[in-house]
Amino acid sequence: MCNQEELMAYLDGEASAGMAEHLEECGDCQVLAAELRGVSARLMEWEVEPPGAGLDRRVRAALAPEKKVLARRWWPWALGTAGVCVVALVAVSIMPSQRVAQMIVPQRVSEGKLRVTMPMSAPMLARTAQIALSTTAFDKARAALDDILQRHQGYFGNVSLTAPDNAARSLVATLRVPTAQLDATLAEVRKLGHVQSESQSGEEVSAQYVDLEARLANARHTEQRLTDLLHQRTGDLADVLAVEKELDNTRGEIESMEAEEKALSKRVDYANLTVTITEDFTARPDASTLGRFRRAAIDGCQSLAGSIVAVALFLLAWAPTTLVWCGLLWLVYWGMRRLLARRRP
Amino acid sequence: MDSDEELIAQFARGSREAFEELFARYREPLYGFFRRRLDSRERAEDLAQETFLAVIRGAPRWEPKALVRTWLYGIALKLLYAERRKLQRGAPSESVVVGEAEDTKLWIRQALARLDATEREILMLREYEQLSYAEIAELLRIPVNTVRSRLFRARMALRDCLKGEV
Repeated sequence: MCNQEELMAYLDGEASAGMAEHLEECGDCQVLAAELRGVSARLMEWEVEPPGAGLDRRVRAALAPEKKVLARRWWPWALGTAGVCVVALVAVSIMPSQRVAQMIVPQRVSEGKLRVTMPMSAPMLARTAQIALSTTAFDKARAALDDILQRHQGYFGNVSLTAPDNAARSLVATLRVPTAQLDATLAEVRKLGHVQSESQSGEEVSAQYVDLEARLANARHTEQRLTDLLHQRTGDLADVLAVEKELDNTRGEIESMEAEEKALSKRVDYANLTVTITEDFTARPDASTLGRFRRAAIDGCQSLAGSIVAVALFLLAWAPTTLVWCGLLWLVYWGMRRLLARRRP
Repeated sequence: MDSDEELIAQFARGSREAFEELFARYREPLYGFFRRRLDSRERAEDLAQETFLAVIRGAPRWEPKALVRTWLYGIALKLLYAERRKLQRGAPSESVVVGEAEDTKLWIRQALARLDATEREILMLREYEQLSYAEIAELLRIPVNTVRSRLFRARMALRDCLKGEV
């Protein structure tokens, strides 16, 4: 009995040449081989038309020089940024703030220079930075922040000010500044006080952008096709309605993707800078004798009020339980006394 | 001539020419892969394009564990399965696409349609994409011997169809 599968594998170039000799001698196998070749030849009659030029155009559009470089070189940049952040965080955690501030400034300046000389094919980064400062001149710092923002064409995203009586004031502001201006803005913000902490990060969005653009191009292409289909409609009403429905869906998708693209571009164009300014309360100049008495009196009153509140809270928290237990213990005591009184002669 | 694997490595290092060469090699085969499996010519072009876009995105992470050809058809198969799922859900975009059966070899399509889905896929990958048994086994995650036996069964079924036609 001939091994027919082996014969097929031989014809496909997937079996040893030993089958060749058998094939020359075996009539059945020759018939089967002819049939198998016939099946393959018949299948190969199904030829497809060549693809349209649109395929080349769209693939090459996605391969624009700057995007190609972005796609393959995002990771060294991301690693570099992560490395800088880690070094900065370690430095912040182990060194006094003043020294850290002095060290970070030149590093940022050199980074800024690097960015300026980077080619146009640099990765698309959504940059964010955080800086925390303390200052004795809180009001001046706040006003200066407005000036800095105006000078660098930025705007406030969110501002929150806390100003309790006789305590340090603090300001948390989210600034949106053009990415190219981030380093210069940061350099000026650092001068507003003592830097307590600082960090920067960059999210690589190049691949996301390329992907979005490709999907958008596809959707626009589909929209065009559907519009053409509607103009040359020859089908029945159900078909036309179906095309119109699909056209609506596609347009909705396009609008959504365009909004996404706009938001993404904005994230790249504008960096997020979160500035926290805390008033240096202990260093506030108020060292006169009268001022010290006043502060001591205020502190004394606050301390008294605090202790009264604490006692009231303690009583409220424990009084019910204490009363119940005291009542129970008194009952036991009273019972014992009566028992002992009865036994006495 | 550089191998596909050399080309993808060059592309990952930034050579646009390497991708152009790879694109030229697989442009028509990949389009044909989708075209023979889908009714819509536009969708076939779209999916071939998506396959190349996936290559552009994935090239930096490509590792020479498998042949580039297997990798490409692996991507294409995933896209095809996703498209079929979409079609099964009755997406309206496909409901208006009219068949182009008059332009194709109706007999072949009908004969292939009668086969079991896996057997049909094995046969088509072998005949049209010219993949080896090992490559088909890797793509479909089945043993090589299963590929061989099911391919034989599919060809015998087609032979019987052919005899019936005659």
